[in-house]
Amino acid sequence: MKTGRSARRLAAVAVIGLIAATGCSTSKTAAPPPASQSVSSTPTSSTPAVGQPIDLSGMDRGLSQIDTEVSGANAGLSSTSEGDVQTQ
Amino acid sequence: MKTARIFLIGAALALASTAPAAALPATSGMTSARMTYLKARGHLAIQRRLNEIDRLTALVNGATHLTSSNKSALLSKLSSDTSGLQSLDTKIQGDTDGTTLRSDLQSIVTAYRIYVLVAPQVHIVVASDRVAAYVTLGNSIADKIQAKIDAAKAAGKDVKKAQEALDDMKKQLADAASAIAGVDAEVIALTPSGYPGNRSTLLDARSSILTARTHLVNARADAHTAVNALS
Repeated sequence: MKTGRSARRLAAVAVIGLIAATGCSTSKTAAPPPASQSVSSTPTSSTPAVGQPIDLSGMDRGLSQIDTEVSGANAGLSSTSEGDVQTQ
Repeated sequence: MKTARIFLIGAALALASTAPAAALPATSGMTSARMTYLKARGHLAIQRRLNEIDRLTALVNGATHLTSSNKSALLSKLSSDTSGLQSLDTKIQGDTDGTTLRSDLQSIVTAYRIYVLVAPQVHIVVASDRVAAYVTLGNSIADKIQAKIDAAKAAGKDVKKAQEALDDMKKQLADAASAIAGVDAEVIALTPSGYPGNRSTLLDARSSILTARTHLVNARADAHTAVNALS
């Protein structure tokens, strides 16, 4: 088992060395990523990717932003007069 | 320029507080020294309001979630108030009788209501659209959770707890959206001439935002419950 893994690792190193020595590019022959691997962190499809973790941080941040606006409204709603204008 | 203006205002205030009133000519029951003093005070009051409008304009411009129609309506109102107050300042500085001056000074407050009406208007509309954006985000996350639940169910896992939490999350999001329905339009429509009678609309709108917020807190808790139940 251990010998088999070492042999595979050796073969992989040999292939990489061969590519480097001959200047070949792997871009044309590169295999597509496996189905479970995400190509982009942002899904472009409306169908959610089942394998991706669900990010709830936006829901956590959004509430504090609403609180900020409510506080801003409270400042004006706490009084009915603007007493800084003198007319007499 | 700014220094010169501050100097002039300071000089006017000093003159008004030290000059003997009886030595100056009266205009409609008000000495010219008093008029100079009140004009300087009026100018400062207008500058404070223009600064507040600048702050509110920056807030609106930075609120990326605002609907284009609400953003446009708020910016239009703020721009109109700016030009109106600047014109009023010019008029006040040129007033020659006390009665007109008093009336113009009063209109700094009554014609604009920057602090007690416009500022809450802006904050409530921004908050309302934030709630709407939050609901959209929440529904998008709910779809992802549902997909995970479906996958887990297909794999033979018990998803009862996750599904219950998700169902409540969707309900809470719908209730939040319902709570703020129409709030933005009602608040934008308020005018200074309707104040203080229309203050109750502002208070109701704030209550609606707070009700929506409670639903969003519940929706967020449901989302965490559902996600944790699947892990």
